Amino acid sequence: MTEVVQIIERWGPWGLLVLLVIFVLVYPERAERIGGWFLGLFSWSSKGIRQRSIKFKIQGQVNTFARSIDREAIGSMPYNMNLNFVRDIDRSELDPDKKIVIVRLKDRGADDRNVVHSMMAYCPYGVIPQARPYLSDAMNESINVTVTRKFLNYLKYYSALQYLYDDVLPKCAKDIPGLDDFCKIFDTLDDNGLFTRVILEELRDFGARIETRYPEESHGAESANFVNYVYNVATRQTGEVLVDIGYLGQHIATAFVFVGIGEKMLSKGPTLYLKHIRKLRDAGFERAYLAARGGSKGQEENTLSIDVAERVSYLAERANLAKRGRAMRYYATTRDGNTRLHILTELKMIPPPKSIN
Amino acid sequence: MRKRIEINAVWDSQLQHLLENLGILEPLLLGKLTCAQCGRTVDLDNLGAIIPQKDEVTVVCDDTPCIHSATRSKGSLPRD
Repeated sequence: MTEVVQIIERWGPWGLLVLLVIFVLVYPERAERIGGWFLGLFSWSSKGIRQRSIKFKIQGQVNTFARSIDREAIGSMPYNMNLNFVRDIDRSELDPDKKIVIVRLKDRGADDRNVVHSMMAYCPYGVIPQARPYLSDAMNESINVTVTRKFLNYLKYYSALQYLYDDVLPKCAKDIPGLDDFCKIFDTLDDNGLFTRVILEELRDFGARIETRYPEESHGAESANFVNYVYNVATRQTGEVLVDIGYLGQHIATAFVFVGIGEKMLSKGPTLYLKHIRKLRDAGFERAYLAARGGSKGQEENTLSIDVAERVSYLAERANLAKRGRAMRYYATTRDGNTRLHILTELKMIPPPKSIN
Repeated sequence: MRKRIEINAVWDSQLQHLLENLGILEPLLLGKLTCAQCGRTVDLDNLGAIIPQKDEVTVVCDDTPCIHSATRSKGSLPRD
């Protein structure tokens, strides 16, 4: 901050201008939000200024949110939004293969609708776009609703959230069978911290893997089965052993390894978990998430499970079983209503060497 | 810089000009246009979205499922 003041003191208005340009280039989304807010101060004076202030406000909010989600799951929201206000269209120049939809944004008393409709128009192209052709209608729309809900929560835009729950969701649920169920599943996964970190990440990779293929029903079924597996993981009872050790589909091969049963950790240490990771690797799983929980907020010193999980991931890499990927720490609410520290470490399995016969 | 998805929109104050430009203002005011999704009559008050194509222009009412059906699989992809 002192450097900024020194620059302004030395170079005066030119220094301020250069700093402004640098700020806009480095933080374009924040600059949009500030621009929208600033123009909003003068929106009473002209319809044009009000229009621009709404444009920059919505864009800035969406793009800041998109960047924050993209940091959690890289590539899941790879594009920003540009709200393009259309005044004239030359129909003779329109490409017959490329359909354009112009959404009407109302001026007064409709800010909630404008934000929700803009976000829901953006989501199909802005959130895991490469996977969308391969997902069912219900899953596609529930991803749009869940991401829009997260966006409105992020902004603490409660009136727009009310509009989403009271108006948008019931009407869309009537139109699309299965939408309600997927929305509930994604809500639970989001509460557990798994929606962006696992679901969007895996579906992004799923789409990237098959992006040259023609979409088939089996693709939709595989993605739905994977989501159901992760839902079973998130809703299992403490100590419960799941029937499926992981999800092994044609294009998704992912498992969870839970570190946290006290007697097992104390008696056998990391060896038990390494044995399980080897078993997953030999069964053909490509990725495993090592999951552990710490203490509740304010009691973070209870980190035995987390320490063991970190040791296991280190040893798995040393034993050439897997390569460590992202290690994510976050707070999430458990089934008993406590907010606890969670750690999720991604392990990319290294296939065993092929034997020469 | 991240690429941008273009979401096309029309502001209230420019709506009539756009409708006139597309040649559908008069039919709309006369109540001759219906929603492409649900079939109800569309007027200036309940117009939700416009889908202009080379050979025809369709409209959609402001009912939420109708707008989302129209926008769900359409829209501009990022410019390269």
